[in-house]
Amino acid sequence: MGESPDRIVSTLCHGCSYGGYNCGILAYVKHGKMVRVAGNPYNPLSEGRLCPKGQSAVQWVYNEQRLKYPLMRIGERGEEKFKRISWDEALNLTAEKLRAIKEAYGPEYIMLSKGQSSSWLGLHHFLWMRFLHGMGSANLGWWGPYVCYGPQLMYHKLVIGGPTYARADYDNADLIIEWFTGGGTGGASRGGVETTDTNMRSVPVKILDRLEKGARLVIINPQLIPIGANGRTYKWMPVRPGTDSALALAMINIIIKEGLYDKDFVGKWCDGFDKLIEHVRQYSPEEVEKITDIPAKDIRAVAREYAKTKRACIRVSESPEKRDLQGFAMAIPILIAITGHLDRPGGNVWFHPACRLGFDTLVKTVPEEMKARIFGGEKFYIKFRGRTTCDLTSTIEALITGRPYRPKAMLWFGTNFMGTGRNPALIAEAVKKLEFIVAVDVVPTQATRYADIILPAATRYECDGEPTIWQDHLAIANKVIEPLWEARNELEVTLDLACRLGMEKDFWNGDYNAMLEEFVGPSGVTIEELRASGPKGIYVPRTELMDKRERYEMVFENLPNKKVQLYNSTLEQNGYDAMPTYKGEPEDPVTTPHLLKEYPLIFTDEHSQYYNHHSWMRNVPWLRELRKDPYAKINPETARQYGIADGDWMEIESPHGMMKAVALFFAGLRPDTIMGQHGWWQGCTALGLPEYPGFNGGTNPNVLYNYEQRDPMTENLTKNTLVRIRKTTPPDGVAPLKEMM
Amino acid sequence: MARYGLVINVKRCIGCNSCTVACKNWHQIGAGVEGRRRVVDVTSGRYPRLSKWIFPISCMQCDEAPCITVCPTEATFRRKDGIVALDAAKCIGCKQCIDACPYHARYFDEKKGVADGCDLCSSRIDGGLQPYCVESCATRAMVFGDLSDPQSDASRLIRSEKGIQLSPQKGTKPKVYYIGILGSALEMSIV
Repeated sequence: MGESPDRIVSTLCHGCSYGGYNCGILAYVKHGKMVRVAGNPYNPLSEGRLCPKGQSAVQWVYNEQRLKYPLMRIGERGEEKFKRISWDEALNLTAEKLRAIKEAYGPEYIMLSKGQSSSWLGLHHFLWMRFLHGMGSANLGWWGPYVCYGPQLMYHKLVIGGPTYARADYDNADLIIEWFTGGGTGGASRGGVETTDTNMRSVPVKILDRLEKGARLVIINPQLIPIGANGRTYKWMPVRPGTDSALALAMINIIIKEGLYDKDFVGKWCDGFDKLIEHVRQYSPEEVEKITDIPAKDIRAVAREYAKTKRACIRVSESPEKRDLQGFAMAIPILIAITGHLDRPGGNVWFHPACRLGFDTLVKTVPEEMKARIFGGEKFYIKFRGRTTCDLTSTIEALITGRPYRPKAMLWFGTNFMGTGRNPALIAEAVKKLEFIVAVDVVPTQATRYADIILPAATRYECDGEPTIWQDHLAIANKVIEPLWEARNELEVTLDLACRLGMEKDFWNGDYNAMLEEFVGPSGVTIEELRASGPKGIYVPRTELMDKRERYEMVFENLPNKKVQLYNSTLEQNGYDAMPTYKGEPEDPVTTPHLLKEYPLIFTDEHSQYYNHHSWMRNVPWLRELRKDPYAKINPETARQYGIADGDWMEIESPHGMMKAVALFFAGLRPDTIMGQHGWWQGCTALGLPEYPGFNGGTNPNVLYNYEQRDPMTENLTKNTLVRIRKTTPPDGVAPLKEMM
Repeated sequence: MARYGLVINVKRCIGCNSCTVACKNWHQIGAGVEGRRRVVDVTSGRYPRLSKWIFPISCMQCDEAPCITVCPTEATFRRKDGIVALDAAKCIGCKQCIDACPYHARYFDEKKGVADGCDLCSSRIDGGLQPYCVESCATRAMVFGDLSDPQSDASRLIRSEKGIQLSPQKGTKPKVYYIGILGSALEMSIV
């Protein structure tokens, strides 16, 4: 404690991703070793605060479970036999293989996939798009759009336009509705989508600050989330999982019927109000009470309160409905719009940074006929996104059936294909059909076992990191220590590989700094200036646009008639519903009551938690000791009926598969619901905890869900089902791969 | 002379354990030992009418500290600023302080063979800083200050928000105060 550090390096947290504008960290270095971290008080978003993931950075870096050396497969695919090779061998082999596949079949046979870990629309994302496009392929895909938040944004855009999504303006809100969110318990920090406001560094503090000023907090969630503890909840509505769109539609109905909508806004800025009035009549509070299990009087009360409170915001995160994504994802923006809460202080407002960092991803160099060849290229959702990313469910099917063609190679950057994707067994079957897989990651994952080449990525603390921006603040992740073992910065690896493939002209001749300069270029600040700015970073001038509200002319510009689409003719023309409808999930008590006899309980899973991030960081001892076991929350009264005690292993079986989890008693959960968490598989060597299998009978909730019935437009995969439970024994542990350790 | 204490604003605590890990990070306390801090969850009642309370517990910095009284080697001692601290070099690992603490706030470090507990980051305080958990709390739920100064933020909060101590009937006179929580809920944490 008394010893002073040799150096204190200003950097950014790696906890939520490699690449985002994450919490500011000051890393203490002694004798060349990172010994502890502290929050950076100058970071305008985190202001010196850190969550448990940030606090445990040292154990993430010096973790014995990290990938240490490049490895090459020597057994059959999935047989898990690898040998150590040099970086030179690994990259030459990769380059040779990619070149051969491109020449023999075409560039579209090469695919690239990234994970949450590398952030969204940061430098990693830009560089990997450029790499793939440089090769001539547009087959870029990741699991996020099928199992997480992304697809909702397309619906939001179709209804209310805007650059991304209209976030909750907590700072000015008098009523805050947290709708199936974690209340900022986890989630991602990213550049584009949820606009960096999803996680610990800002969400809880903003809500708490506002509650202190008298704001009311409404929680719509089958469980009472921590932000609602300690007497903070004004109203908790424990909605039956998978029925939220019915609740939202009933609220719209009440608001219209009672004349509580914003007549000026609807008259001036909305299309199709008459049709909406007719459509939502079917959602009477009494009918919807039967679906949602929320009393009609409560539905009326929350609808009135939301409509009548001028400064009221709704935050949604991952949708509680997936097969019926459209119902929820369109009802929410309609609710926000007709009540006049759109882009007004305290409502839901759009986020505009002072500038956007980036460079050309070379997407224009990919020929149109090649874009048309991407998997799912004919689908509305993929076309809507400009055919710049492919459809992963179509990809999985193409791998299995060979139709329309079977891709040959995949590059995986920080993505755990089998851990995150649904359904895991199908994905494993599919990737076994690939000829060549390169997996780049910090730690071995369930997916790296299937790779031909495994490359060890350095953590953010070992890299001369990328510049990032939040609002008007530029920050850079400076290198704290040299890379450990033979780990390398993934950005450098990508440049190196691009050069070995003869693409050096498009990749700054391999000059890393030149790449950083071009990326930060739009800000008008140079990399040297940014590096020299230390913990304070650099503020760029604010723009008029970012501080303006009611920017309707701009955000509605691409909508038909430049108006909010309460009735959606674009969707109608493409053969989809024009208005949101509650339809239910593949299996739930309302849709499939006949299944209740055999499967009497509802199952869903939460994404966010304080101590991990998706399938990441369960190898970090300080975090893992706080939550040791793969868990599923259960109401104690329900558990008693099954003779299950707190901490018992449970077998959870749906019509589709079976998983095991440790019962975590929580009286704040609906008694008819079991709440799991995805992402459990990893062992923790330091605490002697084994790795668990990720397929049927293991600890992966994704085996429980229906794969066939997906949201018709986005292919979003459900995370609601019905289950039966019983007490059981732990699953067999899986031995970690020795070669990687 | 200063008399340092801590105010925990339960209204701002979300039970994230940032302080638990912060402490291990700053003081380089390994995993697998209890550490100096913990977060308790005292959910009670029946669905859907339940009360859920989550808040942190650490050394209460008692003015009448039993850990000091029982320590045979004066390893546990009171600093001039009122902080209860521990000199590991003098600790013989007899665990009497651990047994004597009514708040279960100390733990035994098996590896080093000594007792350990929170001393409000006394070496940081000597350098003019705040305890690290206070500084890096993810929700700004803790206030550190001089309780002998009626104008300090901590003293003001205790007065205006009617700060309460955990189990004052034990007579140890804690200098850690809680605000925004019912006394009955607070007591449930050490049952």
